[in-house]
Amino acid sequence: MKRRNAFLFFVLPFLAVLAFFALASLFQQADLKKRTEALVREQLSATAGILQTTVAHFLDEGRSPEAILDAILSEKDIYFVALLDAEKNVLAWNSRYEGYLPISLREAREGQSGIIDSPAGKIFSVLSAVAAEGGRGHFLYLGYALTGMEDMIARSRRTSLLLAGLILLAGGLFFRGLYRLQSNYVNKAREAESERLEKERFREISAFTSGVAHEIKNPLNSLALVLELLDRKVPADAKGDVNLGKAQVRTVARIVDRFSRVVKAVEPEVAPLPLDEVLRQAVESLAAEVPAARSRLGLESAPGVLVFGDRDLLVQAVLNVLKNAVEASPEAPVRAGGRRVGKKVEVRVRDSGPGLTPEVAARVFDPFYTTKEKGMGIGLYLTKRIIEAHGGTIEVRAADGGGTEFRIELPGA
Amino acid sequence: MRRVFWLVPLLAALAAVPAAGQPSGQAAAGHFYDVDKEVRFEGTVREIVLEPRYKGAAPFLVLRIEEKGLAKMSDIEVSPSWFFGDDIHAGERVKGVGSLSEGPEGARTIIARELHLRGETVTLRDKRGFPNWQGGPRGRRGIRRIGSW
Repeated sequence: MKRRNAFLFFVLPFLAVLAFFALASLFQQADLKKRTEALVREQLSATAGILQTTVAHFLDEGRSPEAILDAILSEKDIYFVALLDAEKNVLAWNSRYEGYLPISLREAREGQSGIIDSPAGKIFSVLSAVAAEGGRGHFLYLGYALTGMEDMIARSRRTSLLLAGLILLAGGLFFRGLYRLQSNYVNKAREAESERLEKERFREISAFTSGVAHEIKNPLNSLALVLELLDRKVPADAKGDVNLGKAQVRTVARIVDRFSRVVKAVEPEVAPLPLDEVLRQAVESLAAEVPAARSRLGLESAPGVLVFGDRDLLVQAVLNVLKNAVEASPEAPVRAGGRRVGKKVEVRVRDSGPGLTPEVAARVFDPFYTTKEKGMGIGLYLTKRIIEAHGGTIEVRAADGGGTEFRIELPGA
Repeated sequence: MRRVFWLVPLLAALAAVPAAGQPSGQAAAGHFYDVDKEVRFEGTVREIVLEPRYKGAAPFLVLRIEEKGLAKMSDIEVSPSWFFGDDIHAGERVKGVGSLSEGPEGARTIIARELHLRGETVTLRDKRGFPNWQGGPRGRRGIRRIGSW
């Protein structure tokens, strides 16, 4: 899936949900605030009404302003209260906060109510007239707030923020997972495409190679027969030339055979085999083929390790790797070793040559890829096919301390 | 040489914080932060005292200052001593903004809102006289100095 599509189908709806949630929370907050304020106003109006009657009664009883305020400030939601005379002079006052009586006596009007935004929260205030007996006019200034109102709103805001955060976190985790899934899918798709192209290329090469081999083999057989007949008829001094021709024909036949082998499907007949025998056989084969390399070959294999495989194919595979190592480091020693690692069997072949560049290492198992002047790029490719046909893996890497190391992993028996 | 040296934090040990939720602001009828009576003041500190100002509240730091052109000393009501975290000495010049109010025994008293001392401004109350040491549920506008000495 393309990034644009992922954005349209996943990210955009998620953002829309988040935006909807944020809007809903905002509206809910506003509504809560509005309802709370309405409630406080109602409470303030009711409290002011009760206090007006109470204060009027106390004034009629002749209590002092201070005594009246002491009596009425037991209400926990009253933040401040002041008793004013008819000229709006403060007779007595009381407040939760030292010296805090937020009233402008110049501007105070009867029935005037307001909201004071204080650090302690919103305080609703009202100035109401108190009519005592004998026509004595007084005013009561009251500051009222529902205890915990601000806390409740703040808690609601915090809860909304927490929920939004959780949604965001969940979304983030979801999209991270989705992104990884998408990346994996894209990588796998790329690998599959690359593999498909490789197989297609291989099929084309195989078809071409088979065709060429077939076309070459027939005349080559005829040529071999002709040379054989010629060998019997030519004089002794010409036999050398005929033998050279026969040798060249054999070389061509061998090359054609190798090509034919590459394009054939690898079908191993597996059986439990002693790993050290397979390795020793490969080393012996190489020593026979390249006698000069015998002294440079070292083998260390744990006895008793069994591997599931086809003896001839595995010997061929290890031989190819050993041959490659010997050619890569003409003077230096080559070490091969085998051991059991869990349920698997591991074979390592290490040379002390100049090592492989990352570019070469990436292509070293490609068919017909070679860095040697006389190589055909078949050996390691064939090795990889044999190992994979056994359900194993082969990898190449730079060896510690220089050189190159091939690591083959095969199913143990 | 300065006659009096006050290290305010030492006095904090003597101060008591009023219990939360208790009415603590009551004082003389005219002794409140009256927004209609804001004045500026400037003078030299002559005496520093701790006085109970509000019922149920911790003693307040009061600066007795000598203002130019005034025969009588003025009382500058600052804050509870625990809130005022600066050193202050007699002989220093202070200025600020506050509300003119009635003090005990009719002394000219100013409830300070802002105090400028040695080039620094200490905000003690908001524009309506809400004391900063009370903080409030939102707390952010208040200065909480408890435990910061």
